[in-house]
Order: sequence, then C-alpha cells, then structure tokens
Amino acid sequence: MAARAMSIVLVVAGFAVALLLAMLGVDLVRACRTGPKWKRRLIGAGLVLLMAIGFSPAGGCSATSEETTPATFADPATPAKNLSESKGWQRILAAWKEAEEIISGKRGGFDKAGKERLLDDLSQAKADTAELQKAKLITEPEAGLLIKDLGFLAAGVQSMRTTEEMNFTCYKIAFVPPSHRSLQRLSERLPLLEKLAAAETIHPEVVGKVLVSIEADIRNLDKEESLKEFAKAEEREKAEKTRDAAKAAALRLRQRIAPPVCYLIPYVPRRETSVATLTERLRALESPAVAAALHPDVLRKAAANARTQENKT
Amino acid sequence: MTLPRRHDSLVFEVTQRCNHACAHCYNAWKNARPYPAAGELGTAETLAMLGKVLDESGARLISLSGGEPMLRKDIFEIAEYLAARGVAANLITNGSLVTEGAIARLAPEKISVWELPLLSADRAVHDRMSGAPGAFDRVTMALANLKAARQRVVTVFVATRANIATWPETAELAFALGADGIMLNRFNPGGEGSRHIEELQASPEELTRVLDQAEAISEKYGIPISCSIAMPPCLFDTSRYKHLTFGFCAAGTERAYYTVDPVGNLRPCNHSPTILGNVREMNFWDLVDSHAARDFTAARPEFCAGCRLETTCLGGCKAAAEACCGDLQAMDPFLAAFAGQAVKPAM
Repeated sequence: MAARAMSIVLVVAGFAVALLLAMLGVDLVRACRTGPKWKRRLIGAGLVLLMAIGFSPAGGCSATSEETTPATFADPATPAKNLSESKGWQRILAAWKEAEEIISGKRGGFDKAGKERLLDDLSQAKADTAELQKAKLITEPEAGLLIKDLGFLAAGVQSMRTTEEMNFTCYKIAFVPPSHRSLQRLSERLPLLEKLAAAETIHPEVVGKVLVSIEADIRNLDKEESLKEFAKAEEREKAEKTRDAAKAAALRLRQRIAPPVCYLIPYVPRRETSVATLTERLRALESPAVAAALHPDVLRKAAANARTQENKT
Repeated sequence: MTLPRRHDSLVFEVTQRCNHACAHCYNAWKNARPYPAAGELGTAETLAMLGKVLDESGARLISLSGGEPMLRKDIFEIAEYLAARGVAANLITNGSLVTEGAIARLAPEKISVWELPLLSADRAVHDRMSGAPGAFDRVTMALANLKAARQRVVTVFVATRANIATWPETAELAFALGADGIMLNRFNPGGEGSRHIEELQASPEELTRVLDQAEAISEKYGIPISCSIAMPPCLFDTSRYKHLTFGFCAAGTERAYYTVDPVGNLRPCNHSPTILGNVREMNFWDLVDSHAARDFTAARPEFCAGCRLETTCLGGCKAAAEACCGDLQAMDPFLAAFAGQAVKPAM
C-alpha cells in the first residue's frame, strides 16, 4: 500500500516537474538521463505521464536511465547557427560535467549500468565533436583537444569503481605517478594547443573548457615535489620544457578569451624565472646599449638580481 | 535567492598631487573642463570610505593611482588596510619615491603588482616626457630594487611621437631589468595630454610598426605585452599579433574601470571627467545604475554604425572623446584624426 502511494506521489511530482521543465525549454530526454538517480527517476516518471497525454519529446526515454539505449543519443549534432545553441555541444557539456563529477567523487550512486551509459555518452560526445567541426562551429585544433580531453575523461570514468565493485578486494589500477600522467597528457596535447594559440579563430567556450585540465597539468608540473618524481635528468628536463611550452600557449589563449578590459595588466603568474630567461637577461644587461643607458648603480643592482636569482634557480 | 552583485575591481586615486609633469598625463582634473578641487581626506576617513565602497561593490582588486600615490604619507596604512581585507592592490607609481625603505614597508604581501613607467631607454627622452630631470635613473633604480625584493613589476610604455623610435630598446631594457610584463599603450588624449595632441599622437602606420616590433620582442624574450588602450580594429589588424593582448573599453561589464577620487567622487573610468556621485554619500550600485553611468556605457559614435565590431570595440575610448570634445558621442580623438584610413570590418 505504502509502495503504491509512493509511486503515485512520484508520478504526480515527476509530472509537475517535467511539465515545468518542458515549459522552460529544458531537454527532458537529457534531464532524465543525467544527474542523481532520484532526479532521473522523478523526471522519467513525469515524462512517461507526459508522453501518455500526447507530449512528444525529442527522443524516447524510459523511467530510469539505466534502461535507455545509446541510440537515443545517436542523432548527430543538430545544425545550429552558433555553438552554444547546438544540441551536440550541450550533450558534450553534460557528459563532460557528469564525468568530472564522477571522477572527482562529487557524485555518488555510480553503478555498472550508469558507468556503461556514461561511457556511451562520452563516446557520443566524441562523435558530436566531429560533427561540430564538420559544421565549422569549432576549429580543427579545438576539436582535437576536446576529443583528447573526452578520452582522458573516459579513461578516468573507466577506472572508477562502481557500487557493485565496492567490495572487490582485488580491484587494482596500475599506479602512474600524477606527474608522469600530467606530462603524458600535456605532451599529447601540446601540438594542438600551440596550433590553437596561433589560430586566427578561436571559440572562447571551447577554449575555456579545454584549458581547465591543461592548466591543472601545468600546475602539477610546476611543483618541485612533482618534478622530483622524474628520476632521470633528461626526463625532468623534458617535463619542464613541455610545461613551459604549454604554459606559454595556455597563457596566450587565456588572455585571448578574457572578457573586455580596458586596464589590461599583462597576466604575470607567480613563478620562478627559468634559467634560460635569467641567462638571456644577463646577456641583455651586458649589451653595450643597455650598459650605456643605465646608471652604473642600477646596472650593478640589476645584474646582481639576475645572478642571485640564477644561483637560487 | 539572487546572488549579491559584485564588481571586480576599482581604481582609487589616492591623491591629485604629483611630482612629475608628463605632457601625456590624462588625469581628469587637468582637463579644460573644471573638476572639483578634491583635496584629500584624513587617513581614518579614507579607510572608512574604502571600507564602504568595498563592502558595497565586493571588489577584490584596487589599483592605487594618482597623481603620485607615494606622495601620500599614509599610503602604507592604506595598503595595509587593503591587505588585511584580502583585497589585492596594484600600485601605479612613477617610481620616484619607491625607495628600498618604502619597498620594505610594502613588500612582500601588500602590493600585488607594481606598475612603473619606462617611457624610453634614452634617459633624456624619459626625463623630458616625465617633466622631471633624473626621473629615468630613479625609476630604473626603483625597478631594480623591486626585483631585488622579488616583487612583480610591469612597466608602462606610452607610445607617442616623442618616444616610439626608442621602443624596441626600451622593451629590451625592461626585460633586462627583470620586468614581468610590459603595458604598451598608445597615447590617449585627455587631461594635460589634450593640449599636446599634435606633438604626441603617432599615426596608425607608426603604431603598427611598434606593434610589429612588440610582437617580435614578446616572442623572443617570452615577456607578456598587453595593449590596454583600445586599438580600433578599423585601423589595426590586431589578429596578426599572436603574442600581444589587446584591451577594449570594459564599460558596462563587471570589469569596468570605476574610479574613486581622493574625496570619494566616483567616475566611470579614470580617463573620464564625469562624476557620477560620491560613494561616501551614496550606494555604489545606485551610482553604477544611474542615468549618467548608463549614458556612458551606451555612448557610441555615429561613425561606428554598421561596423561588425561596434559592440566589442565600442568606438575606442569614449572617455577620451568626452575629455577632449566634451561629448560622449564624439569620436575617440585618435579615431577622429585617422578616420580617413579606417576600414570598417564588414557585417
């Protein structure tokens, strides 16, 4: 009796919520496939009732996301005049967000069926990315970076333990030090990143999205304790070079997508100056033109600064 | 529930007094149009005013400007107050009073970025433009002292006909002295500068050459270079410069450059002479939402109609138009001078 009452309450409440969302123009199919289980059930129940009275959403949806098939989402990115209007982009963002929340542990209730669905969604997001590029709503390096990130997210989701696997004792993941993973990810993305930084056209929504994980990897490789994880000197040097190149490109992109600002101070991150820069600076200070321009006391002080920093670095 | 409104940053003109006499100075009180004699509030009143406007605006960054802010004896208390509130402070100074003692009192945490003029690698040119003999040696020493104290410093180069020939050497000197970045601004008439347009305003061709050189220098030395003063896209193809960053007027956005003068008068930006009201007497948001502020945001010269970038560029610097012509709808004086060469990006 109580169970029946609960079902009725669920359907009525779901109906009200689904109706409200439909009036607000929300994609109900998407809504009943994403988010926590209670939300998916609630909207799913409401959607069933809505469909029973003749409402036809863009795609089908069963009461729970676990029962839906990837085919529901297989429609190509809807052609749209701009990126934010495109259904494909919205699907990418939704899958991206869900994957991030699962990987970071913000979202619980991650079961086997949900994992399969999310991996399907991420795979669909890759297809959507290709469609968006075909429709010229994003550029080639943007698409490349999105696909790389979607791949990293899929790998992250794949490595997460589902509720069914919680009690497994032999669930082992090969341990890769975070610094090595960051280097690998940055190395893979660097050519595309540099291409994007030099591109005529960029789409701030896409660039903002892909920069987040790139900057996280850069930050990781900025830490001395991370760099210590590279046992060989040449590995460390490679990590530093890759990090610096990625940093320069990321900075350029970050500044290009910044909102309009009249008082534009160059973005100057707090970081140690590299040895190469200090050497270049010392060379500049020793040039006859600079030496002649400066008061001897200033020249002495500036050279001492550069040498002190060089020694510390 | 609505989120509280927040404005990113403010400018506080600590004082109107200055020990330099730059011909290119844009200070609003140097315009032909009269500006109220501001004077200065006492330390306690100043901090109370800052507290009120910070509470209301939610700003997390204040640029301390002037006049020369270091002329105010309580600049240390002001910086300390801001640091205690967790508000980042940039200090825009001519460097003449940035001694080791002053740096010791302000470093390490009270000033986020120091902004110093390096107008030329040629001592005589820098001193002449600053209207202060010895200015070059003082500012370069300040820069060296700041870097010795491991402070973040950006230098400012105001590109005028008087100094553009020395730009490449000046940028290299800034790099050699350890500057973390360079602000490369075209001369923007206003204040004292509006009396020297003929002698200071460089042409688009000359400025294009400066940008080309800046691009090469930024790439070679990895030093960030930004152009704050809008470079009208109808006169410059800024897409050619991958290593430079360009600003546009931020009026109407959360990064608009609202400026508080020493006694609390609020203006839409530091170049604008329009006083919206006083933050000691009125709420910051009432002033931001006022008709005068909206007029400032909406103003756009007729010339820009039909340009694809009209809503991005906003017609260059409207404050300069206001300062020089007394009319917000007038053209940015730079754009007006070279309108014949403008090629509007088509729709």
